[in-house]
Amino acid sequence: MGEVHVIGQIVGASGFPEHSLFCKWGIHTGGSWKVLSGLREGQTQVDNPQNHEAAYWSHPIDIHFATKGLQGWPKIHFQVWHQDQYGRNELYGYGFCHLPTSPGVHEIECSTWRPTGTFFQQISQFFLGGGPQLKNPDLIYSGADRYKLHTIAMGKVHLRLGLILRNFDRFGIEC
Amino acid sequence: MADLYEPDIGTAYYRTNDPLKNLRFRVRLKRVTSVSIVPQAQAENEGNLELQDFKEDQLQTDEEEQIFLWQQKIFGQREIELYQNPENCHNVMDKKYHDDVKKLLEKEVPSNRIFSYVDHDSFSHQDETLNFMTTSPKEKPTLLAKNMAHIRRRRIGGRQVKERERGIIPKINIIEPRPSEEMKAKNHVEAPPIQVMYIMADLSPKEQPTSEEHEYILCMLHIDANGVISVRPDFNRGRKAYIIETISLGRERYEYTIEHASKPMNRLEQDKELKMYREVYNRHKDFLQACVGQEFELPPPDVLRLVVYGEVEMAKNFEFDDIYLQFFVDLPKDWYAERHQQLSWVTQTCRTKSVKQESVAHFGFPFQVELFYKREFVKEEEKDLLPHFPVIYVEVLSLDSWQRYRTEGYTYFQLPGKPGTSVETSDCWRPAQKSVVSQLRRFFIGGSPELEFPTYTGIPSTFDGSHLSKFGFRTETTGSITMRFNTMLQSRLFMEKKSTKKSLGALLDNLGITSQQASVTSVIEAFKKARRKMLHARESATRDLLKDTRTT
Repeated sequence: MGEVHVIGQIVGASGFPEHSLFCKWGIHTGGSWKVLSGLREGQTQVDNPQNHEAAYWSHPIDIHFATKGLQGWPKIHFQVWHQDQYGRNELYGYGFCHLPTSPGVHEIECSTWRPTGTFFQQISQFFLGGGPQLKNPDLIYSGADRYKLHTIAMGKVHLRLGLILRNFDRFGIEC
Repeated sequence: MADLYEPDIGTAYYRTNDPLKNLRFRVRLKRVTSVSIVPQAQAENEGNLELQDFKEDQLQTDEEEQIFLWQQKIFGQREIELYQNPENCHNVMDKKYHDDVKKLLEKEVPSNRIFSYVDHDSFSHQDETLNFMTTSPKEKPTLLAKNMAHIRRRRIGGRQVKERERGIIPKINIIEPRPSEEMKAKNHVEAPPIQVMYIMADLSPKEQPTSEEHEYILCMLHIDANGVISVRPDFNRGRKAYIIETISLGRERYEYTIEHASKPMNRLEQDKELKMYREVYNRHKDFLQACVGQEFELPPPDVLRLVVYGEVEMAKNFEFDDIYLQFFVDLPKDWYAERHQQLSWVTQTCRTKSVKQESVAHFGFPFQVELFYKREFVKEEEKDLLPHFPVIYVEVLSLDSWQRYRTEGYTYFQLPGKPGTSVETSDCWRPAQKSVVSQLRRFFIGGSPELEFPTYTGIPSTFDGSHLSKFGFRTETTGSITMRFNTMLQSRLFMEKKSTKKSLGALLDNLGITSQQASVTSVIEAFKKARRKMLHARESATRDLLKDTRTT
C-alpha cells in the first residue's frame, strides 16, 4: 500500500477574458485509490481583482490518498466560471492536470479550454453570455471521444502542490 | 547590570503533551554576604567553634528553597499582611485567600521570601501592561501595546480553545458588516491563550515593612494552550546562579537557581507509554490496511515498467486556426505494451487565442502510457545496441470551416527516461511545397503533402545504415507543441536494491547486458594498464638518457 499526501493550493487563474472568476475543482482517481482523509472536490469563492491581470483564490487542497497500484494516478480537474454583474454564471474553461509523480513542491500551470458553439451561439454569447457546456464532465480528464469536440483556448489555472509519497520505494517505484 | 558576569537570561522554550499538574520546579534563593563568599574551609581553619556555629546558623537562615507546582499559590509576606485583614478582601478570590492565610497563620507565621503570583493574581496582568522594551525612562507604551495588553488580559483562561472545539462556521453571512469591539478583540489576535506564573522574592530589609517595590521577579513561566512552556530565565541545570541586586540602601546581592524538579518517569511507566503509542499506531495501520489492502501491483520479474501520465498542453504559432493533434507511441525493440493499452490518440480541435502576439491553442489532453521493457538474450552482433526509449510521433493538423484539413507540422518527443515531471516543448516543421500552385492550393482549398511514414520525423523505421541524412528534403518551420510528462519506473530489481538506490542505468545492465558491459570495462582496464606501462617505460628511458648525457 502506497500513500500520497497532496498539500497545496489553487493559486488562481490568469488569461481569461473577464474578471470575477470562480472555480470548481475535483480530483479523479482510478479504482485502486482511496481517499483516507481530506476533501476531493470543492469550489472557490468569486474573486474580482482590482487591478491585477490574474484572479487569486488561494484555495487550499489537502488530501491523503492510499493506493494499491500506479493505475489511475490522480487527476485534478477544473471548471472555471465567470459570474457577471447580474449574478449569472457562465462557463469559462475546462482544464485538468495530473498530480505530479515526484515528491516535492510543484508549480503547475494548467491550460483550459471551452467548447465553441455555432456561429450564432458565439455571437449571442458575446452579448448575452452563456454558451455550451459539456454534457459529460468526464471528458475533461479523459481522452476518448475528444475528436468530436471543437474548442477554443481560454486562460490558465495556476496550482502550487506539494507531494509526499510513502512506501513507493518499497514496491520498486522510482518517481 | 554591566557586571563582569552576566548570565544568559534569555527565555527558554519547552514543549510538553503531559498534564501540567506534574510540572514541578525548585527555586533556591541565597543571600550573598561577605561571609558566604569566603570559602567555608578557610573559616573552619581560623575560627573557633562558637563562630563557626554562628556562621552556619546564619547561612541556614539566609538560604531558602521552595518547590512549586504549576499555579501553586504561596503567599508572600506582604500578601499575608494584606489578606489577614478581611476589610481588604473584596471579591471571591480575595476571600479565599483570606481563608487560606488564616489557616496558614494558625499553624505558624511563615517567614518565606520566595512566593508566587499565579495566573489570576492582578500582578500577572499588570506586568504585561507595564512591559517596557528599552531601558529608557521616558518610554511610553504605544497605543497598540496598550490595546494588546487589554486583549491578552481578557483572553486568559482558554476560552478560545472551547470555541474552536465547537467549530461551527456559518454557511451564510460569513462576513460581519459591523464588527463589534468584542469581536475585534477576539479575532484580531492570533496568540493562543496563555497561563502565567511568577516566582517572586520579597527582598525587603528585615527591619522595614514589606512593600511591593521590594518584590523581585525571580522567574516567569508562560504556558500556552499548545503546550509550549516558556521560562525566563531558563532553568539553571548546573550553570552559575542568577544574581539579583536589591535597590534598597543595603544593596544586597542574592543568588538564586531554578531547577526543573518534576518527577521523572520510571522505566516501567516509560515502557507502558511506549507500548501504548505503539499499539495506537499499529491499530491505525491495521485500520488503513483494512481500508485499502496490503498488496501492491507489481510488474513481472526481470521487467522494467514505464508508466507515463502525459498531457498535451498547448500548440503555439501555427499558421491556421482550429488545430488538432494526432500522435502515437512507437515502441522500439524489446518494449511491449499490454493489449488494451491505447497507443494512438486524436485530440479535439482547438481555436487559438493570442497571448503576447502568439497564437496559442490549449488542449489539456490526457494520455497514459504503460509500457514494459524486457531485454531478451543479447546476440553477439547486437552487443553494442543500447536500449532506446519509446518515441511519441506527433502530427499537427488544422481543420477549416469547410471541414478540410491541412498538415501543419510534424515533430516527435522522446519519452523521458528519468522519473519525475518534465515539461517539454518541441518545434515542428512541415514538408515545403516547391511550386506556387501547390502553395495557393494549400491556402485556398486545403490539402497539402503528407509524410508517407510519420516516423520519418525521428529516425525512420526503415532506416538501416551508418549515417542518417535527410538532405534533399525541404521543410518549413511552423509552430511548437508543449507536452508534460509525469514518469514513473517500476521494477522488482528496484525493490531488491532499495537500500543501494540503484540507478536506471545499472538496472538496464542487470536486465541483460551485464556481460557486454563487463567486456567493455575489461577492455578499458587493459588499455589503461597498457598506457600506464608505456608511460612508465618512457619515463625510465628519458631518465637513462639523461644519466648517459650527464656521464659523458
